Amino acid sequence: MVSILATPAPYVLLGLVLYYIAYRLYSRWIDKRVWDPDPKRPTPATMYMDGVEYFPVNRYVLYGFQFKSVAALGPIVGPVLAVQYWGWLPSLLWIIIGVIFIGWAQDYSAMMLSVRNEGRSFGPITYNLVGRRARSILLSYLFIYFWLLTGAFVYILATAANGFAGTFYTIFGTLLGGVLLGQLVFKARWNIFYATILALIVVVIGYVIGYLVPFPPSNFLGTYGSIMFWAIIFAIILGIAAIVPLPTLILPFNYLAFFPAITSVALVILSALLSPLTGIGFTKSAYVGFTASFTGFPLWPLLFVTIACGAISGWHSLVSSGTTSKQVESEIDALPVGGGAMFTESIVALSSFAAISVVAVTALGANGYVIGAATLASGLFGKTLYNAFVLFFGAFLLFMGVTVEQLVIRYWRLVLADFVEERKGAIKILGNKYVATIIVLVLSLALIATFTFDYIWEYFGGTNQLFAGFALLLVATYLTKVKKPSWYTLIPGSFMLVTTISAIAYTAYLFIMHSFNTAKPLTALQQLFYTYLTSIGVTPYPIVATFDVIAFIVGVALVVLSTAMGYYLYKSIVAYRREAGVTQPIGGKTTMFKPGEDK
Amino acid sequence: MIFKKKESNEENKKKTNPLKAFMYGFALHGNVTYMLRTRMYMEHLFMLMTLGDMLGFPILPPYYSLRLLPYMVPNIKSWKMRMLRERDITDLISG
Repeated sequence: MVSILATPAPYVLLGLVLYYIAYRLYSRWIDKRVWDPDPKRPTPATMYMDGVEYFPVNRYVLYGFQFKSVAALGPIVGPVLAVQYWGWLPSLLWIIIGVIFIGWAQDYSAMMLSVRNEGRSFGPITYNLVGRRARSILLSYLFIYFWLLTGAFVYILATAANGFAGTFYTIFGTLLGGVLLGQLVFKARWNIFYATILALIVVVIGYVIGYLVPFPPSNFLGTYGSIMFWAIIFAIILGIAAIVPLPTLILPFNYLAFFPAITSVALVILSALLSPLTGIGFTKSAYVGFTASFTGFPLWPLLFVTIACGAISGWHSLVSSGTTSKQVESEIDALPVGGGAMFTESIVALSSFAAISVVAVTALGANGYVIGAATLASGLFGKTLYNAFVLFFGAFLLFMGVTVEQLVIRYWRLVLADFVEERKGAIKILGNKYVATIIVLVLSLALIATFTFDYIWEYFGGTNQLFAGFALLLVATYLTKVKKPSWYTLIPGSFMLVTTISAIAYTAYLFIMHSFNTAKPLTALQQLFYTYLTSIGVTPYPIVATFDVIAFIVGVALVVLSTAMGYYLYKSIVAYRREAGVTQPIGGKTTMFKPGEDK
Repeated sequence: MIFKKKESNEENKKKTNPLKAFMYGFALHGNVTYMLRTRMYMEHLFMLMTLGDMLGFPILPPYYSLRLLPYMVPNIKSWKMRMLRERDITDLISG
């Protein structure tokens, strides 16, 4: 009989209780003391109501929308890697402490910042508060961020499709169901209820085929060849999705993916909480050491970027200030919507922590989540259902990746079009939607082909967390300007900035050091790339060294951009403090404002 | 009038089923928002072609502008606001 303390249940439960306490006490205290929301103060949704962009939306609807927008593969993959690198205890502590003191604060504050600035999004707010250069840096940063995100996510999709034979049919069935649903609802004007039923039947057929026909089997072209095969297949699917109008594929697909996604999260949490009854206990060490297993990454700073979403994520601030802030009905709704959705996303990270901590084998990647979730769920519902659960959670993983990634590629090409819009000459071709989409996919496939996922994930996590640091410091800038206490974002923002710049610099350093000695692969994963090159008669040296140098340059560019952004942000904070004649400490007394005075 | 509107909002809140609202928000609200935005861009184009001179675009108002004006009056204020508001790529990101 496994001791209850050796199962994930008490720790997941502890996390849930701490989230509740933090939400009720700390969040509300900050809410009241710093932002002082007034239900009578008109929000942008009510002030500029146009029924199109600005319109008040019920808080529960907005909470569901915000949660769906922020939840993706991040909270699933991060804990899977970190638990195996450093042990489950440091990972659990960072998830819980991160979300309580930093994560929710970023999501909620970014939303309030936008609400108090006429519903503007981050670009214009940065321009107004910090200046033109800072906004240009922010947009350049987005460019690299989306590229790294695409590389990391497509790799995960490919490894999941390769690792769990048959899962591809589930996503294929859902894509077909999505196209059918789109045609029935938008073209044939069917009732959405009947159209949904029909589309769900197609989805279920995909699941059944996936279960009965696990073809092609895993590694059918060798590990390297198979993963690259699936990466190309997903790149083609995502490329098509990023080009066709949203109602044709993305919108109905995301809608259909909702049903299995919400069921999966609930199922894993329930199974984790009941793990003492099923006798499924930890198989991973509580603490491995300061230096990670497999990769040798140091716990600081790399734990804090390996687990990104789930503790804190810069993506959330973009969503909070992009659409949600324009639809908040009342200022008092911002906390349950912004903060509440972040705490809920952290519960997804806890579910991933629970899943990977019971997996007996090493699974560096999202596949560990699938195996762990299937182990927990089959322990509860019957061991005979293990294979069915593997398919179910494998499909969930693919859904989470595809739903976000098809939008990210679309944003990436819009950012590129924005860059070249005012330029003349041949470079304008880069703004073409086909050209831009092909460029991002080829660049991402190049990232995947080198099999340095462990390192690319650190870059991706670093950019994501740095974005969160920028968001927190931007909020601190605004709070300083309006003479409100800013410590609760300034301290976490500074921590995130220092930690993530160090993490990216360290990863870049590893890349450049490796370029001098490419005889040994960077990690065990890259050994596959070496084996493949050798098998086709190519010496790894020139290709690997070239990639290392490119990756190093990307790392340096990120460090330079983020240092410059940090400089502008701190400079603005100091300038606003001087301008306001603030002499008291950062956490000094709150100044009360009349409505509208703080604009 | 404003007071009455607020009252009805309160009543609506009481009537809302949180679970149903959450499910709708999770599954469909993004789609609805996107549809509204698409309509917005099409309206922008149409109004720009017919009433662009109101925003200083050198467009000679055609005869049809006058015929369409009564139908467009309710949208002119919000159209002007949306057109003149500063935007960038971060406005489009909604997850």
